Amino acid sequence: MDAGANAYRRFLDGDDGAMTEILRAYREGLTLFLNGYTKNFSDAEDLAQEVFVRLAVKKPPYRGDAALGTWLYAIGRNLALDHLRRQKRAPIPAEDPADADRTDAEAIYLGKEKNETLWRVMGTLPDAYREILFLTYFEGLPNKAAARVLRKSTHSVETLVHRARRALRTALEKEGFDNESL
Amino acid sequence: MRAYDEDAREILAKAKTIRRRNRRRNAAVGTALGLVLLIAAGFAIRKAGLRRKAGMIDLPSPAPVSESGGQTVPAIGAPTETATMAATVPNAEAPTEQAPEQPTNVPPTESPQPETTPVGGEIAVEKHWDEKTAPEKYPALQVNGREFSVQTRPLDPAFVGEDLFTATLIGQDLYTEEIHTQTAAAKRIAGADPNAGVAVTLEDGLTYAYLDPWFGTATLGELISALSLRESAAFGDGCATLPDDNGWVQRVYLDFDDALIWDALLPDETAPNLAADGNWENWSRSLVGIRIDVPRLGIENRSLTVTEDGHLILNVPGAPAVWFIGPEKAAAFIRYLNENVPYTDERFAVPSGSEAPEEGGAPEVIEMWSNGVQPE
Repeated sequence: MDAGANAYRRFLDGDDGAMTEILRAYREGLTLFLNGYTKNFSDAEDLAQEVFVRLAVKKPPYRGDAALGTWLYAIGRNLALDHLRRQKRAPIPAEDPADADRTDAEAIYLGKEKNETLWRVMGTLPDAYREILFLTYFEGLPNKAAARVLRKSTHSVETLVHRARRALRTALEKEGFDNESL
Repeated sequence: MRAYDEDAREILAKAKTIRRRNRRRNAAVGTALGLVLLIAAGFAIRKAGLRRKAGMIDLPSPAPVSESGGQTVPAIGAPTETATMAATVPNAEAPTEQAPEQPTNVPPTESPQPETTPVGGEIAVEKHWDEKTAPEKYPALQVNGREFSVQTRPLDPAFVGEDLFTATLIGQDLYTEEIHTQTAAAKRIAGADPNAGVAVTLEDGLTYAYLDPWFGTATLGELISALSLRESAAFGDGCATLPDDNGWVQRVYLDFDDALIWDALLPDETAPNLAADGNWENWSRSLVGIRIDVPRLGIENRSLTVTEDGHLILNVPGAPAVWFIGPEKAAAFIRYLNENVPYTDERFAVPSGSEAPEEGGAPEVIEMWSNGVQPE
């Protein structure tokens, strides 16, 4: 069982202190995922916090390691889409005062240099590819769980993963990398 | 980025505030619902009082169930059941189109209400007699002391059979409190027990079903058989109301396969009708309500409800019957729906002072397709 899932079980048992560990396990990844929608790191941070507030209010039952991540990313995606709809009605300046925070989060989350390269190249891909690669490669969600987050069928997610990997491979090769493992 | 523990404290404080607000809101909603029910009950009592004062009928009480499964009422055509009921029925033999005089057992009426005033505080405006459609004029039919209620959807003539007896249709002009009666041939509805309902052709030339809303059977199988539900019932969308942080979500399951209902919910035809003892109100939260139509009986938009504690409530032909399938089957059924049946979610936000969502309570519709079928 991963640390986040273990902490969540303790949180459900009444240990409020476990929320700190849940944040440590999921916050950066979720915030970076949401930043892919908002393109504004401050907004992504706010949305991520809102996801954790909802988790603390609703306390969905524990259903295994991948399930909590799936729940967090699915709720986060809903909130991000709501946020984008509201923003469409009342556009706000796209300035991002939290650019340094984003760099910190990326450093914490990505850790290794190889991941940083991947992350940077992924940023050049279309949103749908970046989204699915994030969930399946960085978060390690199975295709079925990613399908639930993205509200797609498992089959269409498998197709999307295949195309996204192909696009990422092409982009990496242009950068001079030879990544056969993808 | 801020420290994890500082954010965790802030998140927990916010969650606590939201939970407290939700509790207050739920209490307010419960109070409002109680008031609505009280008003509705008051209106029903007033309306019943009006009808009784006009000497029309007594309200039927929940039908007891005999050991053999049918109601303890005489078969169609048998002598009138009780003297009390017979005494309150207008002269059933008089073949009057519109009785010019009130029945002798009707006390003098109070002064009529002003012409344009809705009657008795009803939300819907009561139509004048001449403006009513045929089934609106004659909503009830008396059979051996029992009152059958009209279904406003006309029947397919292919399912209307031979004449059974002459029925007395009863209507009332609530503006003048005048009772109208009319006699007509009650005919058999194909596949339906005449004790449950008959067909009557009204003045508009169309045939309508009059059903006994209190028709009850001891077992599920007897009800299915008495109304030929396997041949005639059609299930529609299912609807569930789910709690949500800022209000609630109305989930509509689409494209039901009727076989799923029969196989998963209604396979045990020996299941006893638990409502037979009159105690059908104490069931837990509804998980899903599934629309059921029975066109052959003129029935539209009734429901088959699955509750959290494993009960099925079916209000066909009228009063609810309750069957027990167990909480495991109910939960498995909901699980199956969520995983295999496409659904849409409609989110309703409840405004709550300054913390009201930006949408201000307007429903926000979010399309969700649980089985991955994307809309065209």
